[in-house]
Amino acid sequence: MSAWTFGAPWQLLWLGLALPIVLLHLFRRPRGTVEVSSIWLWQASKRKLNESHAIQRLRPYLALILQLLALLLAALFLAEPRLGGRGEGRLILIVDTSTSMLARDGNGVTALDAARLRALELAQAFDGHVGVVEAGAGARVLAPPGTGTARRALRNLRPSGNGADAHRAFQLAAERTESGDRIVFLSDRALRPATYAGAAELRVEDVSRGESNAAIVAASLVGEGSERRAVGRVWGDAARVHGQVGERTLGDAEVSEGRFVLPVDEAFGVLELRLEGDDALPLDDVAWLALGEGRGVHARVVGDVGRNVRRALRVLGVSTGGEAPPDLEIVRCRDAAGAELSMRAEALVLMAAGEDCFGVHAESENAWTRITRWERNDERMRFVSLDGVPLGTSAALAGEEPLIIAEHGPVAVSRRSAAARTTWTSLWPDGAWGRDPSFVMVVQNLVASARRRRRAGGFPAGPPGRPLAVADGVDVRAPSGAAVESPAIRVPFEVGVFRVEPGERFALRHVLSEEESDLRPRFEVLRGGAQGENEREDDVQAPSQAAPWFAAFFLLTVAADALWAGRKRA
Amino acid sequence: MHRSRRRGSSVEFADHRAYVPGDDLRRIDWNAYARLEELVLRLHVAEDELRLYVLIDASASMAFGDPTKLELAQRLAAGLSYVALHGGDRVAVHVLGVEGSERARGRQGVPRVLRAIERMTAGGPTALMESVERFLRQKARPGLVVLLSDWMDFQGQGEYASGDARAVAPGLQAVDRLLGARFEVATFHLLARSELEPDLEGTQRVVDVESGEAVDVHVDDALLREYDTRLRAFLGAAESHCARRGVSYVRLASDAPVERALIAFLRGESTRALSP
Repeated sequence: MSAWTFGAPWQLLWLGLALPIVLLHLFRRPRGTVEVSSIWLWQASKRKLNESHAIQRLRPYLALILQLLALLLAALFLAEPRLGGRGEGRLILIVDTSTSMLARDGNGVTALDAARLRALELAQAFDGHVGVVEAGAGARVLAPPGTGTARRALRNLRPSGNGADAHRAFQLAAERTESGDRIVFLSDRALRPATYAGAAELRVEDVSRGESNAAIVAASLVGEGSERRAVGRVWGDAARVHGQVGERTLGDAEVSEGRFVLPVDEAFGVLELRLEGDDALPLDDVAWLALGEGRGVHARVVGDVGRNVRRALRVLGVSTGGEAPPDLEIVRCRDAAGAELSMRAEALVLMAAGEDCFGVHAESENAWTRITRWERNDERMRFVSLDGVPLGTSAALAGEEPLIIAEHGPVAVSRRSAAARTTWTSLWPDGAWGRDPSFVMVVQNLVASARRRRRAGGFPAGPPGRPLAVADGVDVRAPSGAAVESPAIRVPFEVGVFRVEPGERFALRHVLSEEESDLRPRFEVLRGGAQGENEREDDVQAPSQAAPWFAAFFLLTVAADALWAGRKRA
Repeated sequence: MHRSRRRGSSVEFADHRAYVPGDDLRRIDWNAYARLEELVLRLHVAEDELRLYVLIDASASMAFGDPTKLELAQRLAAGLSYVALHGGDRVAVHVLGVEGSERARGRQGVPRVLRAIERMTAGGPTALMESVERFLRQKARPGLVVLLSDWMDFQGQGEYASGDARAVAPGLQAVDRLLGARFEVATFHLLARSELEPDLEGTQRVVDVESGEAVDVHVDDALLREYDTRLRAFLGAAESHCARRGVSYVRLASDAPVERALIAFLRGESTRALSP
């Protein structure tokens, strides 16, 4: 026979609220006191009524009963009851999603991919309820056990930033398990020790390949003028640091005891530092230093940017009018081909597409991003013509009307006629502006501006981020073929236009922290210790995490009820 | 000399009434017993001076009503006393539970009796049987006893629920005891309007003004219906008991017109019309 079990049995402690609720009711009753000649008639009537109608006895306690019932239901809801769980047991898979899990083995497989595969294997083999907890920059429940969402959660795992909060992940897992259940922690073990105090069996599986890693963990500029140098520190077994300024390659710096010194060229805006050679985690092999003053790269964001796009912008140094994007860790800004965008671009268009972004390099006018697919009859497409803007070629697909499709959907179409006339079509599935003609003007002006700067030998003077002028000779056509006068088209410059500003003189954009770059397995489990420090709130994924809201709501209800009763009595 | 309403021992037959323990066995109508198989007493019109005893319940429960039940009792007592004294009869006003009586005879006694009635205040518990015993210890000569009370003395409460006429309750015991002591008895059952038609709702703590006992009740239509049933049973039991004993029974709400009740009572008219 199946038995009821609870995913979060401690939530049943809410039932303790029953006592104050009952006390409140006792204190608040009766609502009035009345003197009578004799209570016998009332006593006899009450007794008789109670004998004949049991429900009448409950009448004065109706509010109390309803409140207790609500409390019981809420506590049960928060405790995540399920049938049959005890007999089959539960398996909680904790997956380390820190950025170091992107380290690749010799075959190019990341530790995160390995963890995902292993987790899917375990979930497949396990006969009971499977849950998934993410141990990333913040721990959270991705799939509560018994909900059947574990496999989907595993497939959607993404790296979540620097560090893994294993301690909190253990807590979340322990709250959903009991003696006889199992917890498996899949990690590269490049973490600090964490404490586990649950009753379920905990096993740690190392999914790393033990590959070595090197990282630039610090860099800055020292000196002035011709004496200016880039200095830094390298973690791991790196023999050389490669420096690039613009298109030029500076001399390699020898790494001595983890430190290096490189010359700089003030003629360029950004110095890119890169470790030589391949290792397990290339994300931390690169860093950038801003060289010039008052120079920057213009970037324009089309559409509503997603989380990863904001991360990319942050790493690229994009400021957003004082509203800095939070918790940005990963440098992942790719074009449609998956290649990372280069900081060497003079201008950049980022077109958000879900959690990814699509980039256009204005620097390479004849090297347009690769087209992956073309949907000829998509009704959502809107064709707009631009004169005199040879934006590039459609390398991947032959034909006159290629549609550019990013990872999460169609983005844009370019069409180039024999008369060097290019037609752009933007198609942004989740927003209107991508289909607006003004989008096209942004691209056109961007390209024109970049070309002017290139011809001038660099960035023009003046503050970056100034409004773009609508270029002459723009021919905009509606889907019906009707022409649209270009001056009437508003370019929403203020919104969605960002400024890439690597202007902080000694800025270093680290990809990863030193701790994340250290791939040596050092994680260990401490049993039954004290609470860890710096615990953070997690995303609300399971019912039990709604407990504080429930408590506040319930107490408010009870207080309102008591106040109401008091008012009546008054 | 007046033709008394009291049944006496003259030769003029007046009525029958049921036998109660303590009655003179010589007055049992054996012919009626042969026919009815019930012991009844032959009553004759007494041709002597009337002795009127007004027994007033001044317990705390009599302070209810607007006007209060005690005020009604005082007005009734004053009216009855006035009529009797003006007729040259003897009047004794006795507050239940209090030793002694205010006695008077003839018109000259009216002011004294009225002052005594006016001085009464409500307070203390109701103990009808005990109070009647105390009255009887004064060895008053038989006469007409008018009992003015709300009968809110529920020491023998349970039987009222079924309306059983044989119920033993202090009020009924007191009536029987007076009859047994050869008094003619008439009673005014006084009730406050709030007792007849309680104006309560919701959860209430109901406190007995005499005993201080309390009960929490949730007053709704069902409870009020049950209360009304109980009250009617209680009143019905009292009325039927008095009827069987040949005792005049008048039920009055405290806000009822006193004059009408007095006139009807003095004329010996049916009291049912006066009942609330």
